[in-house]
Amino acid sequence: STMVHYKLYYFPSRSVAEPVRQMFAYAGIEYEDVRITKEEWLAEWKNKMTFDQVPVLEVDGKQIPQSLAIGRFVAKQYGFYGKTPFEAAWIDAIADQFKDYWVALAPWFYVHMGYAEGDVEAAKAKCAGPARDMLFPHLQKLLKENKSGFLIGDQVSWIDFMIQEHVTVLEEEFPGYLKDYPELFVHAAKIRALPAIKAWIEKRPVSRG
Amino acid sequence: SRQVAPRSSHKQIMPSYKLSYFPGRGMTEVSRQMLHLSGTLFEDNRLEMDEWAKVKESAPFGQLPLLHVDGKPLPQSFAIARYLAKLFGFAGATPFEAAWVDALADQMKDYLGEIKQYLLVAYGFAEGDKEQLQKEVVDPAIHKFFTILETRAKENGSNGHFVGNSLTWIDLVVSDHIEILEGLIPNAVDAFPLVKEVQRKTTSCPKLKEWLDKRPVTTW
Repeated sequence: STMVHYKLYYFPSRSVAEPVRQMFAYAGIEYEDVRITKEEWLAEWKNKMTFDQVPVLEVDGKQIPQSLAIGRFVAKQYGFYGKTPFEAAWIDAIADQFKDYWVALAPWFYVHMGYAEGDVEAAKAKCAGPARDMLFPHLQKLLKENKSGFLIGDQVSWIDFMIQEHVTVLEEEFPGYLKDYPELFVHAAKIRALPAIKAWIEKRPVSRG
Repeated sequence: SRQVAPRSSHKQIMPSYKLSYFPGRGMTEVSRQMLHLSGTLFEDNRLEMDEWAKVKESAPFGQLPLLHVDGKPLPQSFAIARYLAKLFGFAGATPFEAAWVDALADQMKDYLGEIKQYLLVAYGFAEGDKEQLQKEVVDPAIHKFFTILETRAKENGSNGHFVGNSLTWIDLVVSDHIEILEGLIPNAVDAFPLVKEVQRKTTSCPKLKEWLDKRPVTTW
């Protein structure tokens, strides 16, 4: 059979590309992990990327933009999308709710990380609680109800990698933010301990987020 | 709420579908359209704010829309749309096409986020300077998103679809949004003829026209 050639283009960080990298690691799929610096992006790469954005997944030379579309594509190809259409739909719903939460959190997150100017305490006061309320009570409920320890169904899925990566960042950057949601730390530790993911974490380039 | 069509008396082998939302189109309309296009009976459950307040606590994610499939709830408008699109054949013909339908839908979400404040002001749900928002935020957002759509339509062969050779849910959701947008900003997308052709072709589909003619009239 002909092997599909994958190239994943992103910045030298984990962020929205990391769930895709983790799915490839877990499924044992070879891919080119192309990391573009900010300088290279403006000088050379922006015009080459459809939608002028990264991440982009190139599949045998053809581009797919948008991190969630890439995530869904890889999840479907390699079995990280649940066992039934309804499970897949719930995985989609969590991914979309995570995106909505992220949009609500971003004003604080970007200032904290130094990606944007602003008053970090004011941003925190405005964003932190409402953003958290949009997502984590619901994830906590799913984890409490699902004996498998995964978010949806009885096997690891795309959103397990997505949520684990973000909870890891929250642990590093905002300790205490999720103190009322210990189930999320148990979940993150479980995903990080999966052998293929543990091996990937040990060898992946180090980045802040 | 009301049943869209009477249940038949013989054994029901199809699941029951109940789609709950406010009395508007938003990003739920695309799912109503796919249910209708596939000839599937569904309960078009439109809730006023006080009815919603009573059931909000029990809704997963505390939000509308919700799709109930045989009584099991599914939240998030585009998760619902993707589920129905896959079921009824509006998701793209290959995994790669499906990824492109998804990518355009994600880009549309980003665009909707950019124009959200303008829409809230325009519909009277928030205070603000509508004209200033249009000039500073909405016009650039339209330009960015619809240029992507126009390019996509051209790359797809100018065949009246954004992806592949048949109707997908991105054709539907963009077509309905254009109608809403041009209700606020006439001729908003005149600079994008291939996009307008997708809208024209999509809305001229007889089965869809059936729904467009009978659906409750709403401005959003």
